[in-house]
Amino acid sequence: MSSRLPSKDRLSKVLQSVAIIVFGFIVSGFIMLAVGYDPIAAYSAMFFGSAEKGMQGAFGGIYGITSTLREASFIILTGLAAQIAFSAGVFNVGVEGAMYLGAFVSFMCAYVFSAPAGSALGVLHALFCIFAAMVAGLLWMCIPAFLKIKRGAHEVVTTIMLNYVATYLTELLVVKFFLPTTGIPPGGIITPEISKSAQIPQIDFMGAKLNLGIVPTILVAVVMYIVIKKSVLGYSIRVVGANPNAAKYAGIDVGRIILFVMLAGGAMGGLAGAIAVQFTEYRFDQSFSPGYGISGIPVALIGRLDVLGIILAGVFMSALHVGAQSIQPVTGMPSQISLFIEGVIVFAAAMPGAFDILRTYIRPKGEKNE
Amino acid sequence: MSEILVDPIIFVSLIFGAIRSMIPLLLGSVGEVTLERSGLINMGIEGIMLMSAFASAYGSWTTGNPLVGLVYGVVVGAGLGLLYGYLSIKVRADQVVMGLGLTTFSLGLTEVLTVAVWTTYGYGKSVARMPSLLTITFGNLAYEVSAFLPLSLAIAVGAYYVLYKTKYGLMIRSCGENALAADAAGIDVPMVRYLVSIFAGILFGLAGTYIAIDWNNIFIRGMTGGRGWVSIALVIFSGWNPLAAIGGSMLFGFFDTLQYWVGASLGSSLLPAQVPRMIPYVVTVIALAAFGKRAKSPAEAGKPYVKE
Repeated sequence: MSSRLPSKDRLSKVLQSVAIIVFGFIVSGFIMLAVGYDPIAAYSAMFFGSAEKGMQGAFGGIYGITSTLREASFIILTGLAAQIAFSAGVFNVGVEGAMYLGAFVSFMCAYVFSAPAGSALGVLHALFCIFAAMVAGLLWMCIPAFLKIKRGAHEVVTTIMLNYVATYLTELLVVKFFLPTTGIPPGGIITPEISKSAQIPQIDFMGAKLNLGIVPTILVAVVMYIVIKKSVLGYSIRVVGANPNAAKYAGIDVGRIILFVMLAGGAMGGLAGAIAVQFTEYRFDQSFSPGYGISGIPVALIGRLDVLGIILAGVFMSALHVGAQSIQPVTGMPSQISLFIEGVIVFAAAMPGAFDILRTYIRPKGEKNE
Repeated sequence: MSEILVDPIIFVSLIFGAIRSMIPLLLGSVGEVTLERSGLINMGIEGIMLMSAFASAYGSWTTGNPLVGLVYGVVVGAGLGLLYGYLSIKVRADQVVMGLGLTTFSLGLTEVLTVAVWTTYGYGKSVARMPSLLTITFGNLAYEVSAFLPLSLAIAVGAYYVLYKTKYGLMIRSCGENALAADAAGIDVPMVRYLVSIFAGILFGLAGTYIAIDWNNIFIRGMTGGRGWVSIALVIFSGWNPLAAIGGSMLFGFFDTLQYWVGASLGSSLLPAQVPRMIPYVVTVIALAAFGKRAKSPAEAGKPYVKE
């Protein structure tokens, strides 16, 4: 978490993250074996796909790679949202809810209004929809943030409860206002397409379609890097995260810092929602997220609260999710397999003490007190 | 609307429903109260409940005997409680992160195991259910009283008695208030926390078992529906007091059951089905907002104790 690490420490952090991931895969592999599946086949399907089943996994072909990059933009954003909260010692699990509301607001703004596509007005419209989504996520996050600051309510519980409320709310709105009551229902709880002017085009990438969600994502990552590492605000955030009492004595308004990190996370969640609607699907689909908001937590943890680390971890976690889609047709295991690998990884990431324990076993006895 | 409120049949069925919904919340919150009193916080209740729900359904499925399911559910709960205790006490893992990890892991693992056991996705097949204690009839309404009802009430009262009226309770509470002083007084802090952790794990396991093979007779993906998290909110709501947790669980159970009643009585044309489904979650947030500040948590809950 500290800003300038000696390169040796940074290397050891990277090694720890790699160790956590490897541990996650090994434990999950043993569980698969115990249940009666072949973990090697599952992992190979996950990352390289299977030609005979026509699945590309996460990296086994151009469609796999573009899918992985597409999902990565969501997961990196929710990871950054979790990171900025973690930096101040706050657990923001509510990014999922902010993302759903952001997606819905982005859809509404993009559906109700329209402008000539390709014109300056059209670009303005697209930007307006993205901005509205971010505001929606931010406003939604005000609820748990104020409850934490003013009422001392634990943010993990309130944000998880509010995630349920947010997803039911968007489902309600779509079912009530956008699903036909007669005739053939569309496949799932989805809305009609948004106006052309709000659609951000996908580019052609070696024959496959690649969405541009990664562009705003990287932009947010850069802004966050600068804020956390170079600004007074970022310094205050880190002081609050390290020791809230010391921060209070140093004259930092701890409540305002907590408010800031949570609202920033909400805005990032809202942006992720806008990416789902305006960059990817061009409509609101109630089932667009397989838990991107929750995946932000492991991404922030294995990214070691480092912006570059989070980008890499986000791509990895996205590969896990995309790859899991190939596992079901190849091995018969449900795609939720990604959740359990993710769970083991979060579990392992919770254990900084484990590395010390391992080290004392590995090291010769004499070096212990180094 | 007003006839519905005064109709005794509906009123009674609502009360019975509330009692049914209360049981897992009571077991979860009493376990967590005891745990936090000893200085640990288990944020993985949701995950433990889900794993036990699966284990009990599996046990009941393979043997046809729900009591075997009960044993499976309790053993899984105790085992995960012990694991949680070990990782919190010995490895000093971050208890909040670990809870999120355990919950995510359980969601994924139970899904995979459902396919492995029943070869169906998301749902298991119906299994033998726990026998009910007795059946109360009210008009043409029959309500089966679950054996878990007296059990969970007895556990809550027993936990209160042990925590506040015995020297063991004093030991537990001193570990949560000031572990250093407790250690100086000769209390084996890690041992107390291990035992409480297993006890709490058993209660979470019972809650999951109840949900899967008593309340229902099938395992469904994510069937605990956030009740583990609601239990954590209840701990705060009830001010870390197992007796107050009975009242709190009853109230939350009422709102939990109200969602079905509101949905059924108003019909989806008047009120979309999603609105009543939000009720328990909204109530939890409101309760945390109203009681979060007043509550005084054990001083060292969640802080690992490092013996110098």
